[in-house]
Amino acid sequence: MNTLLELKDLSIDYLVKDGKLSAVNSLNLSINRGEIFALVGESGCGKTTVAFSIMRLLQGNEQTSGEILFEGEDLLTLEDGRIEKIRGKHIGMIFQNPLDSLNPVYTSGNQVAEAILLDEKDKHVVMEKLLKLYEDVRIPDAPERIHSYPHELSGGMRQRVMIAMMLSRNPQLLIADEPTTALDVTVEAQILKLLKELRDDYGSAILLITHNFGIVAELADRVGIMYAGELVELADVVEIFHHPVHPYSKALMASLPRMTKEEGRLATLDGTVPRIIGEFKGCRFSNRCALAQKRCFVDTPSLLEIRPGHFVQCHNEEVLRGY
Amino acid sequence: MVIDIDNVTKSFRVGSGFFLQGRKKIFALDEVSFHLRENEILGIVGESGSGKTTVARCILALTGIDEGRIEIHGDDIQSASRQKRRELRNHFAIVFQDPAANLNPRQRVKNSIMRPLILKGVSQKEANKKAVEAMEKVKLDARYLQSFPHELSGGQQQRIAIARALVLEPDVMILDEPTSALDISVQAQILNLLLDLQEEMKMSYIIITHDLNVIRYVCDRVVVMYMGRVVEIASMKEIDENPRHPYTRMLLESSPVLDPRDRENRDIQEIGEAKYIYNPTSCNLVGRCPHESDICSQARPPLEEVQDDHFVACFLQK
Ligand SMILES: Nc1ncnc2c1ncn2[C@@H]1O[C@H](COP(=O)(O)OP(=O)(O)O)[C@@H](O)[C@H]1O
Ligand SMILES: Nc1ncnc2c1ncn2[C@@H]1O[C@H](COP(=O)(O)OP(=O)(O)O)[C@@H](O)[C@H]1O
Ligand SMILES: [Mg+2]
Ligand SMILES: [Mg+2]
Repeated sequence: MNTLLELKDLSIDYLVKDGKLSAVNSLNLSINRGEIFALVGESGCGKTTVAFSIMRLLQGNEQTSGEILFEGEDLLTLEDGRIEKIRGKHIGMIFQNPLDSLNPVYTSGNQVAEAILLDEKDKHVVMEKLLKLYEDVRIPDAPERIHSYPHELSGGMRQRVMIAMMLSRNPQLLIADEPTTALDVTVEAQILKLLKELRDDYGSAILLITHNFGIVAELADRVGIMYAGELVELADVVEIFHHPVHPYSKALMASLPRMTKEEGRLATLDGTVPRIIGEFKGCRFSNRCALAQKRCFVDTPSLLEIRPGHFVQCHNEEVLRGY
Repeated sequence: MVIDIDNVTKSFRVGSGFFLQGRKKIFALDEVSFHLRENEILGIVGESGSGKTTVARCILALTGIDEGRIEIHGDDIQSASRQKRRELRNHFAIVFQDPAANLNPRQRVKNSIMRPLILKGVSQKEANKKAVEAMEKVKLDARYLQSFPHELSGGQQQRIAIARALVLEPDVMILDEPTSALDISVQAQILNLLLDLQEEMKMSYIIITHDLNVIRYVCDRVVVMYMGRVVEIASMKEIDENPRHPYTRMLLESSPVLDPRDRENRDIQEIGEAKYIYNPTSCNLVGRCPHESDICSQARPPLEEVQDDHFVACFLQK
């Protein structure tokens, strides 16, 4: 089987002051082995919530239903010991700010070695592997750099250390949540290249979470566009950029600065992502949608396959046909 | 000429870090020269630490300079009297990256917008009227005047910051990473708004950003900075079609493509990271430049006009 991770009808509500906040609703998607899948959408769409639920890192003020199948095993119902094993070995995660996940009192090399030590006890082999990993992630002067503490490294170098840590375990799935948001474009380009090599050389699948379409264009094989906790469109990356179908995807694409002011103005999308508390009927995008019809405010649309591999969640027949 | 920056140097003494033995001098700006023309949008681009924010602060005389001269409509702002400086600052409006940092969290939007007017001696009634007009200009409903910043979205906060900047009717707006913290749909709104305002009010802008796609959309001319030095100045079109400095090319090559069909043609070089090394007899890019030759580490390349209105600081362009 080619499927590595499958989210089935995943819903996550946060229990907040004013009720149940629907952060993720009936999400269905699967990620294949060795695939780079990008989950995109404006901030507040629920992307990080999805990532955390896969890692079972949510804080406990949430209610989750559905299934998260990793190699056929439901991560949501696994006992804690088993989930920790999977987290340590098969699924890795890197965050926007690597300082949050690196321990400030240990050298960077120490922390990567720690990860290697999980399955290698011979000190010399550990050291060899460590230096090799630093080389793989292109950290210059590795023999010296392994002695640096996280705060002595630049943002880009820290992210490389995090990636080295991931590589040491050779995970089947890497979740990268806004991995380059804090970095310069020059460093970003190199980290993205590194992630691509990780997939090509180590065969890891990557769930890439971002609001930056530049990164998606650089890296993704397939793209899921999220809006207010739901997947509104899912397709191959070229399809998403060149033939977006959902009005929300279209609006996002049209707002990318891909021209000069002499050529015209960028399209814009008014309003913001709604916080949906409690029961909701209709399409979550309806109040911002220029094409909304009566039914969009009453019936909840479902994800339809309009062409092989291209899914859209919209009632509007013309939208679905308009290609 | 609205602003003329001539050979400006600004250094900082930085304390003992892990890598810095004792106190070292960092040249945040090193012999920087460029100017801002009437009615133009000038972009400043470069990696973090290249001195972009420091330039903005020096132009407003929020910080002093070691050497050089900065003229605002022909007046030297750095050596002006306090009174004169205040007058010169009235030409400017400044908007920062973090929408929240632009506004006082404890003040209603209305007070934030009216404050600079009241300080100038404008009557309450007149200030009120101007605040309403400013809201119209940034296309926000006037009822938001009663809101507190935390009740607003990032995009709304940034509009308010622009509204507040506009009430004094400046002729120059300096925007330091104005859309970096915003989602793309909101970014598009703010960029369009800035373009509309500039056309309507005949202002000049300096837009600081590391996003070349943003620069390409809004700017007429571009200043490329690296480690405190200007490495290239040209029209946006020239920078795009005929970049001459290796660093400019590096930035263009690193800039995300925005079209997945273009990615296969890209070859991202392993160019390492910007590293601050001060050497008055060498190009700053030595060690990172793919085209380095002997001369690059023997002298400093001066900024020279290689073509009409196109300046480059690189020996290999000779
Ligand atoms: N721990 C939490 N408690 C309550 N609400 C939360 C929590 N984490 C996130 N949310 C809310 O859930 C929604 C989705 O957030 P998030 O998953 O962080 O979105 P994204 O990563 O797409 O920006 C937002 O409305 C956010 O405010
Ligand atoms: N107040 C200060 N004290 C010491 N160093 C400073 C100060 N302000 C800026 N710098 C240094 O000057 C250089 C340029 O900084 P800055 O102008 O903020 O760059 P940019 O805006 O391009 O990221 C950096 O090395 C920075 O650390
Ligand atoms: Mg997030
Ligand atoms: Mg800055």
